[in-house]
Amino acid sequence: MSEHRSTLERELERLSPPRIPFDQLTRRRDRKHRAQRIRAGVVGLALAIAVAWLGVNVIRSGDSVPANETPSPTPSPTEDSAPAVNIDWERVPGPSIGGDAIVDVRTGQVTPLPASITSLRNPGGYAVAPGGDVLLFEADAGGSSDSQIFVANVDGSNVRQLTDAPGGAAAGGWSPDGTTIVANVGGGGGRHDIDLVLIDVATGETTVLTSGSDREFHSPHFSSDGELILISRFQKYRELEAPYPEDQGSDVYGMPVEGGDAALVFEDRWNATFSPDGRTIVYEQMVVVLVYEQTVVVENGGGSEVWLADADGSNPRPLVPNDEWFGDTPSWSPDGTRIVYSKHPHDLDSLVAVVDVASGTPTFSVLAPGSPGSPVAVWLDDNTLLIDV
Amino acid sequence: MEDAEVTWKGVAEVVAVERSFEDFFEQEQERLLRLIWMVTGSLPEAEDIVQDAFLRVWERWPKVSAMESSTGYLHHAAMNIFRNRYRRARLGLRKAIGAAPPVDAFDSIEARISVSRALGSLTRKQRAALVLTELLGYPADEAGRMLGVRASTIRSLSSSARAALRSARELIDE
Repeated sequence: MSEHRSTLERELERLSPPRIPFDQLTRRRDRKHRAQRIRAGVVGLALAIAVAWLGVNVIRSGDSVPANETPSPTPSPTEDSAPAVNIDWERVPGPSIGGDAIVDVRTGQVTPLPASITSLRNPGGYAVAPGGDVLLFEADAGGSSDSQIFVANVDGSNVRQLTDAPGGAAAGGWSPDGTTIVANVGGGGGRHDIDLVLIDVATGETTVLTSGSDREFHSPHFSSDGELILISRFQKYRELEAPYPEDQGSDVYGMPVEGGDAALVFEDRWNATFSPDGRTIVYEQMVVVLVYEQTVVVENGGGSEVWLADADGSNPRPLVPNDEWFGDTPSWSPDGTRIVYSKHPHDLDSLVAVVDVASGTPTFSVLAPGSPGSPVAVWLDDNTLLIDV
Repeated sequence: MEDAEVTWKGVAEVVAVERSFEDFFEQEQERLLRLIWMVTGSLPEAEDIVQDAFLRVWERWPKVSAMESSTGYLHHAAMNIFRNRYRRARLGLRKAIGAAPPVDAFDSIEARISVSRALGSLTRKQRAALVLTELLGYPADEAGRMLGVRASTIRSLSSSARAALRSARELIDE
């Protein structure tokens, strides 16, 4: 036994967890099965309604569909008509970076983010104001590990701490007019209690929209028309019990910017965001991940792919057809023609990839070999990315 | 009568399969729970991951029980669930306060010995790499597949983790 192994084995012996009773596992399995049955019933009902609706409309439209023809069905996720591609992500052109940086997607030129920003503790979670010249981000402040929200010009000037909330704060996104941000700030309750707030960037004035658990209000951002705050909510907060663990499924809800009840917008579509023209959404779809001895280890929860759908949620299709590797955290280019997202090929370190939305073709990539986690990119303008490694 | 026999035989087979899985659960749960606790630093989180991993094994038990190493499948399932939760915590919960990073038991353990302190100073990914390669003996490429990184990344993570352990032991020796 190696020296390290014996040290670790001794340390392992110090941990004395309580035994899990087998009937606890049985109850967990039963809950999961019950939830799956409920979910299957809901999906079946939705399909029945959709079929009935389609039938009524076909009858109403009369001569638009000849009797001997059937209307074209909406393509299902498995009926992808795009040609098969086999992407070698290593061959997609682009540079490598070793820290937070600004990258020109035309030339591949890399510019480190200004030291006035990177010298703060753990900066990240960047969001770019609509004009492209002001950044919103999070960093640790005041000797605490709690993050606070900062704003700064992209050139590094005018760094300003916007919040000083006990328990920390996390930036969401900008309003379309660039005057307001939506954010989560620590609430007065327990560790997981937060307020969902709007903050006037010029004055720092804060308006609380609602309060609750952080798992009800994560990843908040404005809809493209500025009318709604879109939030992701873990599925345990729905009336239906989630068919898989709470942190593996997330629905998107919309709340009026004036506050009020949040309504379900997209079910089971993690981090869904609208394109700049409001016609399309991009979101994360959970997928199968791991096979061991020819047997699937994990289904529906191992990782995610980036998918597109029409704004009403119909016509779902993968952003890059037939690509086998996971992807997440998509972001639309300001002109809506491209999407940048984080990519996780199994045989490579994580990278961010720029994909042409119309063709599904990767056009540019940035490898982040030293990234301890997953690099995340946002657009500064149509030709420039800001990458948080 | 024949139908009844068939039915009873079916029930007996199901009971046998269930019993066999229960034995596997009883046999493997403690060590897996310790390993995942060491990786996550959180007992409640470890309990959650371990139960989900066993459920995945249970769903495929007839196939998994016939494998050369059912325990290997269990490790793959548990590490994959850990990986996914960890990644989710980094990406999704970055936007939510307090949920990430979770409370780490190694932070709060009174620094009774330097090894605990050394483990506490490692990232969760480093601890996962260490557990997979040192304690469970998986080669770097297989550990990489479980954690979704390259074999070279596993080697790098394990190497820095081992260096931290080595320093801790030197302190103890002094």
